[in-house]
Amino acid sequence: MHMSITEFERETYRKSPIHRIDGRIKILMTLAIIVYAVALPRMDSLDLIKLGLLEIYLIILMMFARLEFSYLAMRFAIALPFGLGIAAFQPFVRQPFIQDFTILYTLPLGIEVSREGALFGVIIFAKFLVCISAVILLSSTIPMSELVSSARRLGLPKELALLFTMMVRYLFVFWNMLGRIRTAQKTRCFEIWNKNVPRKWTLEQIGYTISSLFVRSYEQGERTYQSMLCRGYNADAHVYVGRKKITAPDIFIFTLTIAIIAAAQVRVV
Amino acid sequence: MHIPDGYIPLEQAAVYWIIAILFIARSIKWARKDLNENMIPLFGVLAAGMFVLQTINIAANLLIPVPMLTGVSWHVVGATLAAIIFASPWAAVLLITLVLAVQSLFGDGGITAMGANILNMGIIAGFIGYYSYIGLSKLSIKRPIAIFTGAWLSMILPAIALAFELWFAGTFPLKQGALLMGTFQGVAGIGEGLITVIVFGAIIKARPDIVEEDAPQKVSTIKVAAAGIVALFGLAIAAPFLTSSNPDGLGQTANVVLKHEINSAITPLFSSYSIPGMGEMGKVAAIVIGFAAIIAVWFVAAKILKKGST
Repeated sequence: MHMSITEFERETYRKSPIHRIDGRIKILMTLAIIVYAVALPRMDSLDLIKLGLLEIYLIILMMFARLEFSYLAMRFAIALPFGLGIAAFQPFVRQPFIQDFTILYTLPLGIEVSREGALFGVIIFAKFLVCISAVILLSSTIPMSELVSSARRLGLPKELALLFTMMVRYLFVFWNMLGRIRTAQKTRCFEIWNKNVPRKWTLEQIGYTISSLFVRSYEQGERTYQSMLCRGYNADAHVYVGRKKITAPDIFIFTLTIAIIAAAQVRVV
Repeated sequence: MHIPDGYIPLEQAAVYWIIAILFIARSIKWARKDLNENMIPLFGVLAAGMFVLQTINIAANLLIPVPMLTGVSWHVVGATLAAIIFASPWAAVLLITLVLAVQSLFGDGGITAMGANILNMGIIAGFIGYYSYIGLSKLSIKRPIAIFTGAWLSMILPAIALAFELWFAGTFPLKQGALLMGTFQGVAGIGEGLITVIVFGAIIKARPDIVEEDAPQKVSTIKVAAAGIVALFGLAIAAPFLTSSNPDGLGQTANVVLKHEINSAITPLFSSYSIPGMGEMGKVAAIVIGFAAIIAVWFVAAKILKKGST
């Protein structure tokens, strides 16, 4: 279930109405959806309808963004396990904020499945699903560098903007570097899961891979920093982002998102 | 280890975010001022490297050969490594924050929960890892052991903190959570410790100039002691929630052997670590009072000894 980050980035260069929307609008939309989903009360079965509405909206946007199904499936498969694990536990435990429990089944070993626990599990999973969908939509429709410059336009402090700009620029360089290290190791028959070699040796090899990556990225950082100094970099320097106009479709999609959140809140209650 | 969105209520997530922002702001100040040069671009590039090295998945049964663990894997976090190399826990806070921010784009950890994740994996891990290493080195314990212990603690204590956060959020019961995450991170911590030792050794060979080797001598003992006291206070507050109501091993043995005689003979100040009428808070207070009393006695003893020597 390994997926290259270059494959992730490729999706962000597709051409679609959603990809064309301004980065600022997409960031604000995503934040609005996530904050709304997280802020919903934790025990209310109406939440599921509201979250369902948002999820359908997000899926429609994904379809408009012309993202491939296999790509999306992979993204969800990577993101879901941890959250799913915690949600799946809920029917079996007693949540401290619930007073009365209705027992649905009693499993062997005295494990009880409660209706309230199950409802809570489903609700937090639904919240998680909506948030993950929003993040996946955002990160599949905007290149990382564009994301940073949009965040800068929205008022991200200049130091953080610089840090993220440098990070995003070199992420792919080091990703490929790790790929090359792995290929080199493979040609020497190195296999991380191999049980026929001493464990200490395997651990050492992993340690060397990591130290090599660390030192190489440090040295790249030094070179970059020095060449920036040569070009006049100093403490007052900041990442330049040009002005960008918000167009009518941007305003439309933003209003639509807010309207859908409002509709979910007003209509369902 | 990465808390996703929706598992922590918004108001609690906001508190973690505020703590995280304070620390991030200080760490940026560190990168700008405390290092002689404005090294911000360098840390941006290094964060990219850190992100990539965290994608190396290592099999868990490399450490403990249990068939159950087949398929389970962990990755290196590197908070202690960064803190030790740059001789400052702020390096860990800065680098881990950047890494977590990009990871959240890949769905690993939430946006609202990022504050809590930064608190666990950046702040707690960085500070605990670094100051354990410095403290142990000051006690002239061998460097590999000091590094290993620092790195191991920097994995297990965030796991305990995570269990508490999920418990405050009402999402996961405390004891099971602490046991589950603590066990997993305890095992992964062994790997983190070993790898940190190996990597530190390799880096010091390749680039001795970037590693501040004499950090343990430079950092003042008071700073280390302060960090230790804060950590111990944290543990003191956490302990009563984690301990069960059953008598502990020593108490039980005493009961069996002495048949309750011990109870009648000595009347403790606070029976069973609690102050009557205060519930769980009483337990916390009892431990804090006891702890403060020990420190006070310690200081008095130190003063007397000092006077005697002059």
